[in-house]
Amino acid sequence: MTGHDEKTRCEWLRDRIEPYLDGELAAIDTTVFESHLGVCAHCSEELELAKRVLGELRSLPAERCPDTVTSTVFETIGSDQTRPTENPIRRWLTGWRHGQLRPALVGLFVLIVTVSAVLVARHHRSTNRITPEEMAKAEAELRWTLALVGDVGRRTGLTVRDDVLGERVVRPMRRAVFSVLDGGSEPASKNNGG
Amino acid sequence: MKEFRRIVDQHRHRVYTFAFYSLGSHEEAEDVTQEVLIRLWQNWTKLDRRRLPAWLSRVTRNACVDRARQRRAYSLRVVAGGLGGEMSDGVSVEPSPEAQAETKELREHIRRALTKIEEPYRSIMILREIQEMKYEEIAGALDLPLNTVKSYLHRGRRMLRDQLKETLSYDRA
Repeated sequence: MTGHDEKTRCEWLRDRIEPYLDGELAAIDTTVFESHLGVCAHCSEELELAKRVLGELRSLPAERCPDTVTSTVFETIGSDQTRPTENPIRRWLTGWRHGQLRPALVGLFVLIVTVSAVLVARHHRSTNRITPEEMAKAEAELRWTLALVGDVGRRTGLTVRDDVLGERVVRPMRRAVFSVLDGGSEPASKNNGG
Repeated sequence: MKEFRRIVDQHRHRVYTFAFYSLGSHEEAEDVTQEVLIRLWQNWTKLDRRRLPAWLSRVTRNACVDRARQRRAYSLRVVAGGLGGEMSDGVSVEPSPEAQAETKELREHIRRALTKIEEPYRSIMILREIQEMKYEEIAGALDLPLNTVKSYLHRGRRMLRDQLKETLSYDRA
């Protein structure tokens, strides 16, 4: 490996020290990274420094806020008259906007819908009782309707057979059959009668 | 008011810690914490409680940035003024007095170097490495895309290391 290649490899490694420390480097890059560490003392030192700095950075302690800070804040806001008073309507709207009241309102809506549905169904059952006479009349009307539909269907079928199929299918086939059987034309009575 | 006091007690150390590591000064951290808590009170009725940590992080960070802008050479003053002895000890392993002294010195250098790192790298490092916030929370607080937060964190750590090397070599020279 030339000196230039080595320098390029060192730069490549230094760009990946932080992802390596966070375990975010791809497996193939990790292999190349670690193999280079084995041959480059300078990069090994850089990695050790990075590890140490990160370790110390992470162990920097959380600082405690002195009580005097909060007591000053409470004193300040205790005498603060500028803060808007809590308007109940605004509070309700804020609660709605932030979603705090939504589950309760959705529950109320579902309850109202359910109760309404039960009341309507009960009312419908009590007012729409069918008498035997009405049932017999309905059955007769249904029979009459079905008979009419059946008759119309039968007439339509006959008309289609005579006007469409007879001219285009039945007669040509009959002519063909007679010409094959006796080499003549079909009987005159049939020709005239169709 | 009772609820407000509870929330203040819950979050004040977090706000203070961020301000301290961002500005490098206890005095200024106290001022920023007071400012943030008063703003919290002023916005109390409008705030969504679920987004409070992100809101506090954003407001604290903005307050620190504003304060840093007001005093242009603040980081130089911190280094020159010296804050030795103000750091609290969080060392759990104490191999030897020499090693302990060396660790303490390194931490002090890190803390000082941190105040010299540009924004938003510094805030991201404090939120992630010191305050252990999740990437998603940081992205929400600073209004940055998630991948940007990750790449800025790595860049910031490298900047911190370079800054530290510079400081240490300057000290040794």
